[in-house]
Amino acid sequence: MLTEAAIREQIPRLRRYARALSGDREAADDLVQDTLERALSRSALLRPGGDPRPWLFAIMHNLFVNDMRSAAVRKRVALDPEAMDGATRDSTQDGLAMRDIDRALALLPGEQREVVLLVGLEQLGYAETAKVIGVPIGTVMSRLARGREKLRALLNDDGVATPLKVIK
Amino acid sequence: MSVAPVSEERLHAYVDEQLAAEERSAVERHLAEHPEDAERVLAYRRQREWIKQAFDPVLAEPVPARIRVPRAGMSGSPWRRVAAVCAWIVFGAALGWLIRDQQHAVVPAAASDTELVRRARMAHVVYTAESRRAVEVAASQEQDMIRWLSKRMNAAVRVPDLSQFGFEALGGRLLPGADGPACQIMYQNAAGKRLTIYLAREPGGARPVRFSDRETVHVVFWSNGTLAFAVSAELNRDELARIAAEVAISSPAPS
Repeated sequence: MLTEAAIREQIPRLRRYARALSGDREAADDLVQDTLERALSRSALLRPGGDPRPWLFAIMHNLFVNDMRSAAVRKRVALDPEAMDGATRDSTQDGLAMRDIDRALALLPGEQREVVLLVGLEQLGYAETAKVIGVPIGTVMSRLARGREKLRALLNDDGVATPLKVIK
Repeated sequence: MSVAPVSEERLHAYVDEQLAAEERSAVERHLAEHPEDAERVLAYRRQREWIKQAFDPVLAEPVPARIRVPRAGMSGSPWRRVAAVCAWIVFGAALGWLIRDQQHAVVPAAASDTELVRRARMAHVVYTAESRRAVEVAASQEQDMIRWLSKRMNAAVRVPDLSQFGFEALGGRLLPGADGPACQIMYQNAAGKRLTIYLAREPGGARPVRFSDRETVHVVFWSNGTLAFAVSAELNRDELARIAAEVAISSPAPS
């Protein structure tokens, strides 16, 4: 049986993923809180002894997709390449050394960003990622490839935004 | 000497260290001969590093007080209880308006199972157990499904958007009802839990919302004067009530 303690243990990782996904501290923590509330009302679904992470990420994915649809929470969704000049975001927010990687992530479509982060940051396997977001593994691979190629086009070797490619 | 070509997938699996030793050396041989691919692999590895550097510090942050783990089950905090009550009030108000009958109590009591509930629950149990043939018409053909079911039911059938609760429509099917056609619309959430809305024609007076918890599949049911509704799922009463409220609001009674 999944205990509250087991879920609480996952909060830092959920926050990390949500922060990378949304790029905004407040929106990320709201997403984490909503995920926890849904998770606790459904904890009986989890098999005993199962790893709660993919399941929690799946709940968060669903909420994230809903948010993107309603376009209420997502500042990032509306960002266009011109926003890369940094006017809309403080690159040192929360004291984190945010490089341009953060802003480049914001320019990926949500579905590519999710895959790049689940695989690269959360280090889920491809099959696990496919399960979390509910798509075939081939779709995961093509989103990963497109997302990484786009990041490569946006950033130079030092992780600095490449102005010529960014400012159209 | 040429080396067997390495697929795009392999390159990413190499970046993500998801290859066995043997496959890894095959990719490395390929990279030695294809500098442009080697450059991409290097770029992807750097991206992973930058992403980790940017966001790993979040792991070390103290969890802010606004993030709280609610207690399992319902009503972790007074706020949640208030929210649950509000959901019922909204539901009650919506139905009160729909049925235009202030006499009815809108606070649901555990009711004895009616024919409608028995049929709805049976249809829920039988068809949610199906993995491939759960529905007759998939939600991808939603407009067709709505037209078809509305025609057979001789009433406007809606497919409410329940995505705010994490449920997406899978599709629907036509069923035999107690006296005439009935239908079922099935939903599923990310965790694989399924929910069904069962509809049957029930002309005559509207009936207030009631709740049946006799079995593990809970049912919230009511009638708007033309159609009887039964929303079934293995969810607790409050969650089911919020969903039923959405269903009621999106399926108004005919004027």
